[in-house]
Amino acid sequence: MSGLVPPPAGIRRALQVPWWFVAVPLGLYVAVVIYPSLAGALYAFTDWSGIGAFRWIGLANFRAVMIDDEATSSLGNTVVLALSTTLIQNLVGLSLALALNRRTRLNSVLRPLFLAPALLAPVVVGVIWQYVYAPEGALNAILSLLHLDGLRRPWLGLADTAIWSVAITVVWQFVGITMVIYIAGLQAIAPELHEAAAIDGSGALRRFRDITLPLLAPAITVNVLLPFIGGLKLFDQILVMTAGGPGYATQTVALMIYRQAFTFGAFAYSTALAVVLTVLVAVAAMIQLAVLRRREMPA
Amino acid sequence: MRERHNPSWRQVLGATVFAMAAIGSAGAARAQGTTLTLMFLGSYQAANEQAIAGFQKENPDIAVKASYTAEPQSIRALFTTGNAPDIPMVYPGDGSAIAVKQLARAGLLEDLSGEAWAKSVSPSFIQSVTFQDKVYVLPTGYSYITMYANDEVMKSVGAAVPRNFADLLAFCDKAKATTIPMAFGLKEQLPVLFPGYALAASTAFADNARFAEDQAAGKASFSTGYRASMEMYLQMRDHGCFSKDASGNSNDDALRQVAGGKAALYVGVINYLPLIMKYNPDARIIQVPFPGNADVAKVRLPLGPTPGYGISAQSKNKAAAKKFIAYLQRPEVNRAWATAAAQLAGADIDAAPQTPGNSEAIREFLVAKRTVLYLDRAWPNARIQPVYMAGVQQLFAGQTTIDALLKRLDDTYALGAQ
Repeated sequence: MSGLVPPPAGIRRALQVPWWFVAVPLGLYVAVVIYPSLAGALYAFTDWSGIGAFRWIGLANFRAVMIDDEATSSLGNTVVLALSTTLIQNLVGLSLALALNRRTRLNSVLRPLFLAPALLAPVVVGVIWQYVYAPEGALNAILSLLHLDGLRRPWLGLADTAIWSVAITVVWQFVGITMVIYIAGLQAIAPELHEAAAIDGSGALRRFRDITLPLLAPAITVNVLLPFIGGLKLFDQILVMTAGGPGYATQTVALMIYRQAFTFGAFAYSTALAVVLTVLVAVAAMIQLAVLRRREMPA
Repeated sequence: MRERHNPSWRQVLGATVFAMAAIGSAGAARAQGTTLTLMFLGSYQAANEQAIAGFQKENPDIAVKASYTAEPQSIRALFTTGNAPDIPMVYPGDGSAIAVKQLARAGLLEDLSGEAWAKSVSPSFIQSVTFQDKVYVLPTGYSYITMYANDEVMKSVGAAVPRNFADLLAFCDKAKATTIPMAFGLKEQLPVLFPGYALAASTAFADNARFAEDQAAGKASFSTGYRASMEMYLQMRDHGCFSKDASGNSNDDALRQVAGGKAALYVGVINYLPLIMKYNPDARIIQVPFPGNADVAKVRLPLGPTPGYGISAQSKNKAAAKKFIAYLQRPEVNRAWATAAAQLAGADIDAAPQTPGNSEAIREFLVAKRTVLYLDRAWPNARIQPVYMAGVQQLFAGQTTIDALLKRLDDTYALGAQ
């Protein structure tokens, strides 16, 4: 039987937060986020060009999205980037967390170092890496130093390397956050569990598989969900590093939304794309959350 | 029940002081005069600031508050939100989200046909600044696409500046062993236009001066007119005109290469000359028309009005805005503006435009009217140019074919005005 005894009704009442406390922030959220989003989404059913009058055209914009090669290719790029960055970020982030989990002086220096790029604006990161990947940039210079001149190439100028170059940049920037979340998860695991398993003869790999991983499930949920949603919305780094090129090789849905609205003046079509992206993000997030939550257990 | 009081002398005095203060502040606001807002592309800042200073000297009661952007499309968003500047930058033609025909079609620009300067706009370019025969934009400057040649590199290669397309390919064959024959910033989309437009001007438009009109009438298309220019573009690649790193270079990289003597040639607009000279003030750079045809007689120089000044229909300061634009059109102001913007002055475009730098060959083409209006100025929507730019990048990357690109361009053109 639990030793917890509920407090008396009077104290419970005193501790209760009045419902109207939430009214102001909720009202603000509805006014600033919900209402403009829904009102904006209505333009997806019009032919509005961003200026002047418009008329209702039903689902025509959504039908156009479905048969637009550029939209399909942008969607493909977006999914590739979201999946690859999520996967690599988690593998590298977890490895770093395992390596830096112990409290040592070196680790207390390395942890903030790995986290630092996350504090930079994505645009700044894009500009920095643009120089790294330039034909005369740092990466090619390093390859030359290592006598690997055959590997030198214009990384952002080739369709088959540009998207992976961007993915690595994104991972570099955000892997520190993933690492920190995993370290928090690792430190919540009681060391006694590992000690008991070790006494029972479990090796390090077995302990990682049977103790660490299951108990890290909440951290995994967060670390899969956040980078994946971030990957689906990727915009700044792409705009700065490749502007979606060469051709459309790195164009994401977010970049296409921007271009349709502000370069072409196709606000309605752009809004339809934004609605599709929103639905995609929401569905992906719900599926991930449902699957990952099922694996979670209390530490 | 509340009691009513007669106002005391203190209250009367307070109200009087308040009213006088209010009247005084209104008077002060009037004395401050009109403030015009202007928004333009950042690269025009020097030219604008110089003109604004001169204007304000003559008109101390009119302040001009200029802001600059790297993303001119944001001006359209300002129209959307009802916050358009009094004097927005407006692109000529119909091929941009802030092009004159797009904005005028939506009733967002003031009709300037009644202004004295409107009658002096060059007949060769009037179509670029009108909508339904009404003038909406002052075309202050004109630019052209030129081929820059670094004289020192040309001498080190031991070759003359190419004057026809066969010479150009022969030059690339010879020069590629020792230098980059032609600097090219293929990582960005804009530089793709320069050789492309120059090639099409000297092929499609050299064979048929009314190609743009025929395309609008459905008698010509990208598929019928632009094939040769695309094939020649790829021939240049295959002859090694561009470095193998061109796809990773920005336009700025390319400008530095030709300025610094790492490349012999570069194709771009005249506005880039100050940048090239900034990167290497000692460089001797010669300008010639891009040799886009095997027949020298068919080479044409792409030329067109650059972004100009319109007046928002929403503006509350139209009279002052018209005064500012009229000031910009004065020949001496216009020439100073053009020099600062590294362009040709609109005031001289039909007579004898002064071309900057070593540009005798360019001047000959201008005087002989061997020019073609920038191709996109006659395109009916803002989608065609991005399709062209991305398509050429794909062509170079082997991701599309000339046939597929031309069809996509035709399909996008067929969307018409949007």
